[in-house]
Amino acid sequence: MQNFMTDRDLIKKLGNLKEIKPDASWLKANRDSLYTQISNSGANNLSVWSSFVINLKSLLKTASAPAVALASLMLVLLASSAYGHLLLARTKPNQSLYIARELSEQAKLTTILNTTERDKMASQFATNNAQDITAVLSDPSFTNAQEIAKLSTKFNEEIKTVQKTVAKNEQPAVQKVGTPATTTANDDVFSASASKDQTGLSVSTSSPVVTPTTTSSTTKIIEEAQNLFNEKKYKEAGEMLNNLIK
Amino acid sequence: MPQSLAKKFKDKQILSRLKNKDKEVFIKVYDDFAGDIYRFVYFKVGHVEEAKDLTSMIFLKTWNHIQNNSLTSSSTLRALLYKIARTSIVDYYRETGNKLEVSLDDETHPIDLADDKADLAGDMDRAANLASIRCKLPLLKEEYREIIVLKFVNDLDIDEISEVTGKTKGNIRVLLHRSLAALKDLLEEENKVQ
Repeated sequence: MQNFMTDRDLIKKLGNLKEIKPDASWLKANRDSLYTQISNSGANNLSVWSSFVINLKSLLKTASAPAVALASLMLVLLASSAYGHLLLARTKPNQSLYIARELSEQAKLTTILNTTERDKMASQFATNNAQDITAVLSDPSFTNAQEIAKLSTKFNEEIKTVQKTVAKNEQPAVQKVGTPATTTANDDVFSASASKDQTGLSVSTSSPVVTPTTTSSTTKIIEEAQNLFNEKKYKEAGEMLNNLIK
Repeated sequence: MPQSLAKKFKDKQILSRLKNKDKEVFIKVYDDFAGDIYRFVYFKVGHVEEAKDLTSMIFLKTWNHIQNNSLTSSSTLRALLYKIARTSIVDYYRETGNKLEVSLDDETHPIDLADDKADLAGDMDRAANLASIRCKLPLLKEEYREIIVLKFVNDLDIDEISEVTGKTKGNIRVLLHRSLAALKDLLEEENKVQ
């Protein structure tokens, strides 16, 4: 005999009532009868096309729920800001979609928090854009003077962006000239002498040494590309910028 | 979340197919829900034959309802079936002029237990549980009995029960608590007497 019963016990007992079912023969007979009745009322089998339309509609109705719609929108925005520049990379500066590429590049740059990385990417985008401009201008069929003037201005802007980034990188490189020549980028310097009794062993981590030759050669390439562009040797200017990408 | 979305999609798909008079889908719906609807009706009317007749009628009414209505009033197919079941039972008793008196002690039509396992001790235990609850359920108030069957026997969620009964979710929670307490009291009373 049971003195008290918890809710869980009771719910478990109630669960046993699931075993109450109609007999299988009646279920089957009723199924057949129902099938005949609905067949007489104009029921049919759906075509593949109708099924496809129904599935699509159902999907849209499910996705129209506010939470799902908002989540989808956020996903599209995130994806387009993160990968939009890759999708639009093939658009050329004289095409209408090019503005979307520029916006996408800007969006991508704003998602990068590290300033060094951001500068690096901005420079990369600018180089690519400048190279695309040279590719468009080197096409002999492209003769629109207004467009050529516009693209030339744009090219100069992009080159300035690259120069600015290179100049930024050159600055710390000059300051680090005093670093011993034998140290490499990954070396850590351990110094046991500096204020050992007060602060214990001090550890200093050296920053990577930026070789001045790299930045000066970059500047040289940019200048040469600029000169070739000014001389309207667009193809050569593009090839020169290609060296920069390499 | 993804599971509920998949369920929602499936439901919308089935309703759209039914709206387009897809008989195969309707028969699948019958296979999926006939047992549950029968059980719900049985606990409402207490007689096997009446429960069978009403179950047949409910499925036919559901088919006609789907063909003639926009279906915006029901969020799920299951909720729609139970809503139609409820109104059909009320209509049936109104039309026949009978009073809805429930007794689950239907000696002439013993209930089929759909379990073929030869676990004698388990069967006896289940049969004892079933018998005691079958005796006590009719003694509960109609709304208590209905909510117990919907929630704990047929596994509807609070949202669906709210839609089927037209009561608020808060009200359903209170009713569930009270109905369980009432049934527990009845069963414990029986134990004390023994």
